Amino acid sequence: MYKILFVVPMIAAALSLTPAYASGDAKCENTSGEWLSHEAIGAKAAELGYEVRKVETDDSCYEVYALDENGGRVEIYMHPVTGAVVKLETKS
Amino acid sequence: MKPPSKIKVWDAFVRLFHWSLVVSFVVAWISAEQSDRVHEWSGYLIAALLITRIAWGFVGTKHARFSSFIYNPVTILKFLLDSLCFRAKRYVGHNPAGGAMIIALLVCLLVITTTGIMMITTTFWGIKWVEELHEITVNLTLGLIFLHLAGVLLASLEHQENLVMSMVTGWKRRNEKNKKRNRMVQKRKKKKAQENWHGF
Repeated sequence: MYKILFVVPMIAAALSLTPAYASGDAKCENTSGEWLSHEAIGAKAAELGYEVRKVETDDSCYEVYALDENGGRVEIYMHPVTGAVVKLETKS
Repeated sequence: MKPPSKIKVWDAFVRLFHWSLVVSFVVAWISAEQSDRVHEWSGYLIAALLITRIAWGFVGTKHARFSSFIYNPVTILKFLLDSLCFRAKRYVGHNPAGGAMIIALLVCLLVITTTGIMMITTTFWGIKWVEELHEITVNLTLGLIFLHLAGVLLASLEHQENLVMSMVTGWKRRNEKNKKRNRMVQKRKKKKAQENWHGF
C-alpha cells in the first residue's frame, strides 16, 4: 500500500511532463517561406557581434546559443526566414 | 529475555537524504523545460545532498557506510539470480544489489550535477557534448530509478516486509539467525493474526 503511495506520484509526475517540453517563449510568425540554414543563421548572429556556440530549431524559431561582446551567455531567438532577432534572452 | 524484534537500520540523515533527493530530483526533472531558476537551484541542492551523503558513507552509522554495502560483482550477480528465483538471502542493511544501485545512482547524479553546472559556465555554454551527456545520464538515471523501485518491491514481497516504510521510519525486522526459531515465530505470528482476525 505504502509502495503505491510513493510509486504512483512519481510515475504521474513523469507522465505529466512528457507533453510539456516545448519551452521557447519566443514565437516566430509567417515562417512559410524558405528557411535559412543553421550556418546562415549562425553567420547572421556572428555579424551582430555574438560568439555563436550552437544553433537549434525551437518550434517556429531558430535558437542561437552564444556569448555577447562582454562574454555573457545569451540565447537569441531568430526568425527562420528573415533572420531577424525576435527575442534576446540574457542569462545571468 | 527475548531480544527486541525490531532494529533501527537507517539513521535520520540517511532517511532525510533519501527523501530530499527524491523530491529535488522530481522538481529538477519537472522544471527542466519550464524554469531555469528552479532547475538550477534544485540541481545545487542535489549536489549538496550528494556531497554530504558521500561523506556520511565514510563516517556515518553502520548501515550508511560504503564498507557495509559494497560487494564484489560475483556476489551481486549471484544475489540477483537468487532474487529472480525468490530465494535470495535477507539482509538487514543494503543487500548486494541495493548497494550496487546506490553506487550507480551516486555516480550518475554526480555526472548530471557536474555537467549541469558546466552548462551554465561561459566555457561550456552551448557546447553540445556537455548537454548530451547531461541528458543521456538523466535518462540512464530514470532507468536506474525504475529498477530500484522494482528491486524494492521484489525484496519487500520476498521477505514480507515494507521496505519503503523502513526508509521512512528507519526500523526493520531483526534478522533471525536461527531458521528453526524463525519458522516458529512465523507460525506463532500467523496464529496470532488469525486470532486477531476472528476477534473482529
